[in-house]
Amino acid sequence: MPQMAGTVVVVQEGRLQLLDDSGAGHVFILSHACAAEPQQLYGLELGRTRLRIDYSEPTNVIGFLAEKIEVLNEETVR
Amino acid sequence: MTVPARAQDFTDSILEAPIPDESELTAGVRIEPGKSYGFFTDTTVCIGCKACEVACKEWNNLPADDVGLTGDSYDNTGALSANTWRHVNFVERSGENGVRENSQTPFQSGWLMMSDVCKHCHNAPCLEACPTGAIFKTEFDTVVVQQDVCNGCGYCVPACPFGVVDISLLDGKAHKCTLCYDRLKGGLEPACAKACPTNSIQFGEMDDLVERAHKRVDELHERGVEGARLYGAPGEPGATGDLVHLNAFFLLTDRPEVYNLPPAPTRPSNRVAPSLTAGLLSMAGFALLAVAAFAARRGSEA
Repeated sequence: MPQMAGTVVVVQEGRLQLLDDSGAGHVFILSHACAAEPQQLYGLELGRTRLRIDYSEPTNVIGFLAEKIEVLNEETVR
Repeated sequence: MTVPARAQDFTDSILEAPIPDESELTAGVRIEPGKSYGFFTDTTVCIGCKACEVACKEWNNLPADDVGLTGDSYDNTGALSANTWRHVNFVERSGENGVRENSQTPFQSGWLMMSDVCKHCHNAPCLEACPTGAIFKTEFDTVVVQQDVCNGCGYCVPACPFGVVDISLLDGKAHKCTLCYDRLKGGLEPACAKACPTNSIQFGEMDDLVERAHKRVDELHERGVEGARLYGAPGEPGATGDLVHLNAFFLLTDRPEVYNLPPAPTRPSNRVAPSLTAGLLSMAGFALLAVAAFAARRGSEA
């Protein structure tokens, strides 16, 4: 499954925008299978948390489906 | 258009912090809990620019979907959905025998454009149908789906007389316009109304909006637009079937059906009592028939 790392900059309901290391924003939607809940995402936004997301690509939508979210610390990323 | 007095207090291009009660500057209204807020959409000044669609998607972080050509005029979103909470309708009209007239009267005679949205009904059928309490009325008299409570049962979808609420196949939950609940709490007017360049989408307190809408209809009648009418305002078409009024109401220049709006929407819960009574009466009727048939058989055997 493809992965993407970046910083959470926007959270709305079960959707989040991840800013990758090149500065591009990507829309992610929490999938059924993801263990994270919408109410947990707001804390990640406030903390400008770095995440690694395992995702799939749904058809006919410009966005990604987040299947697994892992919180990273700065050392792990670098 | 008058410039709000407080606008003179914020003349710098770069501000250090958000402006408190910014809606006073942009919409001329202070947002306070306990009051009733909504949208008045004046379709006669809509230019179909879709700034409202973009602003909504941008603020709510909604993905673009149904990518491609719809083949339906300039419409590229098709309909309201779980990912599209504002949808600009394009209704192209032609003259007699399908030939476009050489001259057109002002205020949308050849093209009807309308920015559609959740109506935030006073008696919201989606809220009444929701078994988990995920759909609730906010302190601003708007209707919102609480995502962490929604279990995706989908009862709200057929309950909505306007076909607004939709279940997302991606996360399995119901989604619809929140009337920018988070922005209202922060003293900001909804993103779509703020982005509208012609003020076709007006945000404000319901009483003010209804008064403003009636004045606009009178003005249009005076200017020769005889078809101008309100939809969803108290006592007007659209506010039927016990819905009382819609917090997002419209000024139209043609019949509601032309804009893909139901002419007389109703509250589905009104049909529960008649349906239940009809069901019980049917059951009683079948039971009586069965008893009669059983008695007749016993009689013939004896």
